[in-house]
Amino acid sequence: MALFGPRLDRPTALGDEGRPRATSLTVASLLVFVTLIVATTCPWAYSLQFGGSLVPTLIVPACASLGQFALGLMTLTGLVTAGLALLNRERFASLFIGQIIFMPPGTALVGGLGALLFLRPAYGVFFTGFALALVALGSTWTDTTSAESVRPALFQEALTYVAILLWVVLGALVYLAVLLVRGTVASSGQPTFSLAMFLAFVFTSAALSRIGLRWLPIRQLAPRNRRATVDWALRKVRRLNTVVLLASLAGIGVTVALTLVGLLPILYRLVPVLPTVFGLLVSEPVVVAVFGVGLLTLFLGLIALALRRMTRPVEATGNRLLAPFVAGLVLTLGMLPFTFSLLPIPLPIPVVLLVVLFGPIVLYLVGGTFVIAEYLSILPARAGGPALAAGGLVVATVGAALIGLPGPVVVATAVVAMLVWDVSAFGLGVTAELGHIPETRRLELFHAVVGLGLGVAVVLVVGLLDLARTALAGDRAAVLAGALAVLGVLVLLLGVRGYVGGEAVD
Amino acid sequence: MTEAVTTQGSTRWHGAVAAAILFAAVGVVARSGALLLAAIVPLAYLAYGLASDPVEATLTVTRHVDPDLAPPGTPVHVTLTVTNDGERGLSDVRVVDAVPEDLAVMRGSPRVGTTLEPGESTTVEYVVVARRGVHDFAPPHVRVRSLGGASVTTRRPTVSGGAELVCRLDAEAPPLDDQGSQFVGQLTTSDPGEGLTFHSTREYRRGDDANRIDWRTYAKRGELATVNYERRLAATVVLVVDARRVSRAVPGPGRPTAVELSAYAATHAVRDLLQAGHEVGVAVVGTDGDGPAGLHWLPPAGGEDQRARAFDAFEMAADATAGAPDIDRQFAELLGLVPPGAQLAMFSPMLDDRPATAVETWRSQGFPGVVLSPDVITDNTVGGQFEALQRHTRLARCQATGARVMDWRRGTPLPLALEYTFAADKRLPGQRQSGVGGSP
Repeated sequence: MALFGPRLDRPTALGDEGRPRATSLTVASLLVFVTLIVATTCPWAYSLQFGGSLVPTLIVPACASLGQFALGLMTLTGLVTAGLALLNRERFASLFIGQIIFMPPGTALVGGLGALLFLRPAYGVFFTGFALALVALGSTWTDTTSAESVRPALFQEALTYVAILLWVVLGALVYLAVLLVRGTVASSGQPTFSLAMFLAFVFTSAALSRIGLRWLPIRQLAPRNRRATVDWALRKVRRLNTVVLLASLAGIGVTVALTLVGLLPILYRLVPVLPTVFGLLVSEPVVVAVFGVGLLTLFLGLIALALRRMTRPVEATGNRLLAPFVAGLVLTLGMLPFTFSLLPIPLPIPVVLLVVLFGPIVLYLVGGTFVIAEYLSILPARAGGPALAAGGLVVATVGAALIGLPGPVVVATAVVAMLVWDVSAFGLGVTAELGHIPETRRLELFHAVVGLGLGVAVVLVVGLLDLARTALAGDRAAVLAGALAVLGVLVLLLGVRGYVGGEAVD
Repeated sequence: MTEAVTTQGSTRWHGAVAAAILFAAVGVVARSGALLLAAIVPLAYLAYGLASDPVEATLTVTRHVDPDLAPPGTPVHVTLTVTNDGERGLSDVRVVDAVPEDLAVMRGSPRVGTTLEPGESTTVEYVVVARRGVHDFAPPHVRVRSLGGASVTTRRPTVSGGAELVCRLDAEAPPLDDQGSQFVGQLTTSDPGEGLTFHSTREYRRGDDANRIDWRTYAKRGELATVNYERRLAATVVLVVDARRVSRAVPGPGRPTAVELSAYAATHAVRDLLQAGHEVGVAVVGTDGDGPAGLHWLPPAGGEDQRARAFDAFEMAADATAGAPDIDRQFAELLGLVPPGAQLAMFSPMLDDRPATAVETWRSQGFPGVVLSPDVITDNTVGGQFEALQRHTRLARCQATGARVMDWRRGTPLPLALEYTFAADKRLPGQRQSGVGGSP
């Protein structure tokens, strides 16, 4: 069932090994969504005591808070989920967009939750649980909740991270080189040095143009009747380029030789205007013009190369290696300045640097933990998504209790955790037995309604118990009594389970 | 009701215990009463899952197979109805019908999952494509779960109604009687004579049959005239079934091969031609038979015996697994065996050039030719579309020689395909070949 827009899951998701049936998953998703909205926007949020400066800007005790942290959390988890799905594709465009929408939101999610866990642990636990549940449910929709799906995404993410570092280092080196050259030219003021530098610029620009021309489809775009003319023109341009390359190289050699022999000073005396002309050769407009030709040709060539790669038949391995490096360049050029533009927000620079530098690594570790957990069978292989979603909600329940949300809300979150597991696991069972084609909505809805009815009853009963607890007994006594009661029920249930199980097998 | 019952328990709620322990532990450490109370939630769901009663279900299952006798390639509708005859509602009933292994579901699904109130029924409807043979439907798998899912009962209830699908080359469905006389061997001449179709009137001659007198002319003009009909001749028709390895292709799993479809069409052609009084010969190309060059060859003859022999030959063609030693020689030998003036009818999916070349050769030798080509190519891939294009080109090549070409598209019943072809022929009468030894 496509909720909106293009499908993110592959057709294999509709097989017997795919995601749960749509009705069950819709019910589970709605439950989590409603719980998150209710838990973060209801009137009791007014009475919450926020001590720090971070949380109040994120959780506004009004309906507007939906547009703050909860919506932000859902947006980030949605982007991460979509990115995860796209990173399992094979086309360059999908992989590239997957990189763009997976790593930055993932890093922001990890960084934000990490900061929250550090600054306000209770809120951190609460929102981490919900983030886990949302990502798990989202990736269950896209059928990417398995080690086989997460592993390639992590590999891609690592490559992108390395690419970003490489691009940053390269950019820094180029910047340093420019600074160095400018400083040297400005400080030396020698015409000979200026001439040599100019020739070096010409050589570099010609070399860049040569590379760019190689990739540009000039001949292919020319009309067929003008191919011969274009071929002739291209040959001429290449010849000219070769001449410029060789001439600039020879010019550097001659300049060095004349300098060593000592003829240049004589030449400067004979032609007094030469030092001035050579000085002008390394002025900014000239350098920009000379370099501009090379860089522009190279840039256009790179665009042509990228377009060719995007339109070429799918070559998965090549695309998986190339996409991270291109995405790394785009992220370096676009996202890093964007990130640093956020600095006016009262966040310390070290924190931002830590998030940008180590966020991707933490994201990688989180994904790696999931993969290892599935390999160790801690998470069920076919029901990893529902299990993770339920686990996340269990964590969120703990967080809700630690925050101090009202008892019914805490209990309702626990109920939703159980319901998400129940409904999703049921949908998976139906999928495994019947596939996705037969009509099963009535069956799924009946199961969901029974589970929900039980949940409502439990919330009511436990709510009454909570009322009795707070009214009749002291807080400490009630906690002790409750702990003993739970322990007793657990022990009793273990016995009952053996009895019922034995009877069922018989 | 004889049925197999198995029951098993569910392990779905084991994780709930861990959640309860976590809530309790954190609740005690953090002294949170709400969290301790929340520990009751997983335990409640655990209890709900464990305490459900084992299911006692009384189910009646009926199956209807329509048609239960069908030729290859025919869509067969199967309807399975499961009724809850018990007094308790069933919260989770999952039914999977046992589709015979050799058949593939073309439309619908043989599975369903639903709830059933007392007296309520659920119906599974799906369509399979008939393949030659007798296909038994085993009892369906019916799985009933308790409310919490702790108890699962799997049954194989006995089924009333249709239990098998018989697919034969000479199956009567779909009826071909109306179209049979039009298929091949309808040899009309330009000479008037006795027949069924009006040709002309002429002056009455002494001795003319009284039932040929044109009484309307007599009433108008008072002159006796005799009606001439298109004279029909008994013809000799040789049916050539292409059973080569390349022609044993299927459009998908569980579908009949192109050879099966060709054999089915040829079976009906034999029946209709023999009924019309024509002599029919059969040649199976592409298998290693006992005729010249490995052909399976039945010389043209009439009568019921010939029909039985032809049917055996077609069955052999449909079942063949071995190939022929020399296909080109078989086609060459065939021309030597066919009596002068005979018509040749080729039944081939036209998946390569050989059948088209053979038809061109026949036409160049002056034999009237008919081509019936079952379409087994799927065109949902580029390769499939290319193959389909090549096949259409081959059919066009045959048509260009003057042979009558019938493209039997997948999913179209044979009579309908024939009807389309003859309707097209009527619109283009100039292209229709006629007469014994009609010119190419």
